[in-house]
Amino acid sequence: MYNFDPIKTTEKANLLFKEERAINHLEGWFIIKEAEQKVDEKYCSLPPMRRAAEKFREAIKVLPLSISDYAIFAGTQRDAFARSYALINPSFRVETFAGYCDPTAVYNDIDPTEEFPKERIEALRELDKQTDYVKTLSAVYNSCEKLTGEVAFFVEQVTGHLIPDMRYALKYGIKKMLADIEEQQKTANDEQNDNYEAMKIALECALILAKRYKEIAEEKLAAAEGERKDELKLLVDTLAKVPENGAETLFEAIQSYILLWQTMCLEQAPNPFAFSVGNADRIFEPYRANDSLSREEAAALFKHFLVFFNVGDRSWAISQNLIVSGRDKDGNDLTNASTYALLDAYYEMNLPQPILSVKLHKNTPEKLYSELGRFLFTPGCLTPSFFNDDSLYTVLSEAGIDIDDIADTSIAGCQEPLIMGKDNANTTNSWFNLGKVLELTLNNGYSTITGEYIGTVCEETDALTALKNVRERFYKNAQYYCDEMVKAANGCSRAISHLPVPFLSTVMGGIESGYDTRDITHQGTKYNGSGCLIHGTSVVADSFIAIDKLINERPEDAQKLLDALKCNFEGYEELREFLMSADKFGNNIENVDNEAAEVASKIADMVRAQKNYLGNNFRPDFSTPSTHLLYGYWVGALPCGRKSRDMLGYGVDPLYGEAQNGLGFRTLSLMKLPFNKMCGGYASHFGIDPKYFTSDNYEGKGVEFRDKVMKPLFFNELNENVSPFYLYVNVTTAEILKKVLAEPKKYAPSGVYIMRIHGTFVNFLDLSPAIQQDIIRRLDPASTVMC
Amino acid sequence: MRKENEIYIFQKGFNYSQDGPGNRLVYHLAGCNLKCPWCSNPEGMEITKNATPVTIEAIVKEAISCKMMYFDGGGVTLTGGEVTCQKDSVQSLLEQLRENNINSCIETNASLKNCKEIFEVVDYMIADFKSPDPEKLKEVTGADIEVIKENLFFRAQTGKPLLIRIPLINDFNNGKKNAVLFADFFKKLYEKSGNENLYFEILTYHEFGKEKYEKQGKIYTIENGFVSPEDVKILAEEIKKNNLNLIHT
Repeated sequence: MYNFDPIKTTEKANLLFKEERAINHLEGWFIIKEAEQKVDEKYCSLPPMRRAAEKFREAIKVLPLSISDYAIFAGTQRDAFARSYALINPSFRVETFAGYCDPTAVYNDIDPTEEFPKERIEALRELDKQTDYVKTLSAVYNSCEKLTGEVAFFVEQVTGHLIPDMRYALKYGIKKMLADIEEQQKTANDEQNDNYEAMKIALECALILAKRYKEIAEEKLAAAEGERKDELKLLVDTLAKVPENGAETLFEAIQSYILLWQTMCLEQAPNPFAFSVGNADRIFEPYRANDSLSREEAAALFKHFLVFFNVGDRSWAISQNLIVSGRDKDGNDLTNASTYALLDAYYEMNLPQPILSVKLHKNTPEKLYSELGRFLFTPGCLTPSFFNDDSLYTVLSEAGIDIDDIADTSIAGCQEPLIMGKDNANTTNSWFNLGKVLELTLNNGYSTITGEYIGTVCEETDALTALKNVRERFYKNAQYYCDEMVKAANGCSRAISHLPVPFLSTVMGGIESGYDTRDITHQGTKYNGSGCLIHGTSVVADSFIAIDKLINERPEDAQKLLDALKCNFEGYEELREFLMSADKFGNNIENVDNEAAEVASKIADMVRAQKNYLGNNFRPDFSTPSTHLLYGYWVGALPCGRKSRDMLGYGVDPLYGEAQNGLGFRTLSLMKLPFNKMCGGYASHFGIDPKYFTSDNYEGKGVEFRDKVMKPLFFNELNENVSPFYLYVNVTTAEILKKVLAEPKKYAPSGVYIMRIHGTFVNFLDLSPAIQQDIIRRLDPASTVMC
Repeated sequence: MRKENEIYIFQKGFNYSQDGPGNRLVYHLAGCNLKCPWCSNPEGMEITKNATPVTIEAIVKEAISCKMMYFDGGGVTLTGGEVTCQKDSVQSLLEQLRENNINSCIETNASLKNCKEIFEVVDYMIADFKSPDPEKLKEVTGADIEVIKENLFFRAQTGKPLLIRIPLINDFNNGKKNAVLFADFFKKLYEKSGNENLYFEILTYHEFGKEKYEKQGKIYTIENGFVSPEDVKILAEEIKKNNLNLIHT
């Protein structure tokens, strides 16, 4: 049992984070890929999953490992990541971002050194290009290049973005899992048997890691003195026990978890983004309770657990979600002592990763809200995402999830609700740009950005007829693009299936099913689907209403409107003013709010009806993780008055600047949307001025936040529809953020000023300038005014 | 030119519990008859400046469309400025809200005569009682204490909810002597009316209006209005000593 001073443990966690942030090069992933490549021939005759496992085991044996002098646990996920993620890369530009289409582009993210010369990097890149995975994926992208070039849609292969269920492994250990597999093999078919052999090898990789770390710890122990000696003794003893055997103490559980997580990420190197922890307080509470650790003691250990999720100088492992609180199927609250200990750890460390989410419900204790106040109202402090667990029960049970599984709902990445350990949702598989579809519909299939012909399935007609029938024509084209998108998206899933994941499969239900999580012919997980992120709901709805206004009041200007769109309203300023004066979504105006609800509903139905590679439905997800900027850049001027290349609305939110009547009215508009159809998730953001909260302490402000923001939106007893189930906030003003940018040393002396962008939080100072400006614009204060 | 069926509004939005019970749609009506130097909405002092005329019909329509937001016993609150400066339109609006089963509330300084119809019809009334000292009150705000007292007695005697708020300000109404005078009046109000729905709240001085004063080109004259916890305690104890309902919204 860990029995050290929490204050000293905290100091070490801070030093460990500082040490991690000083690492400005990441080559572990390259070493793994190179090691696997070297033995590729040796195992080429084996079945795919077995071959992957054997190669992985070879790589794990040679991967360089170390333990920091500040670490109390052994393990890092640093070797699974490259310095790739665009939005925290200072060289990122909206104008030149081309998506993550090229799986070998990651080789550009390693700077050549004496140890890793350019020739060595390029040699591996060339070999990688010859793999079935890269060849299949490249063929998919080539086949849809015309349609993805200006992002009518985008598709990608999904790595990471899942929530493993580690509880069984923590409780019983790998030894028991291996025994379980042996038992399963007695009744397995040949293919399952091969898969089970692969899973056993993959599980062994975690044991190899533990053994190698134990040897390092023993070496360090021999030279250690004083308190460090005791720490290393505990570490050696713990590594001798877990993850092979079940954990009993919180220290053992965290150590076991770290090594399991590390193995899972290394298996998918490079860049398994958005693997998420799940309901962390419920995972760890049995061990904390068994230890009788105080809140402070538990928090000290959790601080080291949180540091583990930060990789390198910009915390390159992004969108790792950790969720706390929530309810069971009978509505009982599941907040526990570990919930509060985790919150303490989060608040005191204030790290860019892992991102924090909180599940709320109508019986959430006031204490939780009051403890959340400090996160919301401390400038530069991380803020949690909020989920409405009551709504999630409705939405997910309607989507076919068993009621007994819904308590295990947690968040993968930003805001997609998945069932921990049972659900492979391929969440970011496809991205649908309704703004572009509308542009192409109004311009007979031609882009108004480049003049290129991209496609339409509607017949050419005169301007007035086209505008009068704009809805019918838009949905017809949307169906065409949706069909093409799904073909390509399923192609990506087929491509990624060439890279089996035997270790991940053991914590995703693979021991029960006998199949790989990525298998495209047999379902390896209890639930399976593919995601579609839908962009542009509000601009399409606003455009339909603006077109109606034009037809009613100025039908003679139909052609003029189409001409104006082609030249981005230049020379048509008066017409643009007229269109801008039409009703806009977000102000509690019935006709346009209903239009937005209808757009969302019809597109959600269209997406939901699509089938993935296993014949399971796609999941509509109305979230736009900064892609409202990236895809907006490829959308021409629209009839709502939005100019060419300007952003689209964020998630389900009104376009910034269009909701002018404050928070209550915006909330009323939001509540008209069909959240029951958004089983893949959605995004919404409020930028709230702290001045509206008058209590003189954080606890009081937390309760005020419940009453003024969360209760109207999530738990409004007068709302007869399914209530919204997601929200993230930034409680700040544009003026404050401008000051932080102008004088970072004064306002963020630690170099860290946490803000939320889409579902994740990031160090505001790490962000590329375009994303910093997006955050400032989307605070959109007029849309959240209170009285 | 002002029209009878219009109300001048300079701000609107929602708030929870601080402007009447539950969650409420709050309209700030322009125009005020007083000149309180601590006013947090000085942009609303003049009736037509910064304000937009809105028809009663439009307000009622909007209020109906927002019904979903009136949870926890909420509804519509009219505040200011001073709502009774537009008393005819306000009365008409309050009656129409009642016809549509929407809970109504006003926040008023209660210093204008001939507003009893409003004080009678509104479901929940919040009124300031700024100072028990007639001369000081007149000098600083311009209000006549006798009119205020009469209005408060009238409302109290209807038996409907009345929340009296004391904006506690240093060098204006703090200290033991004032506290005793406040409590004396409140006690009389309670005893004479027998109203069990009579509540009191202390609001400590803040400077939310200071920046707005500057934006309006006006001079903010209060130099040190902040009160100490001891000041609050003295007044709170006097109120509680008389078994009056002291609340915090």
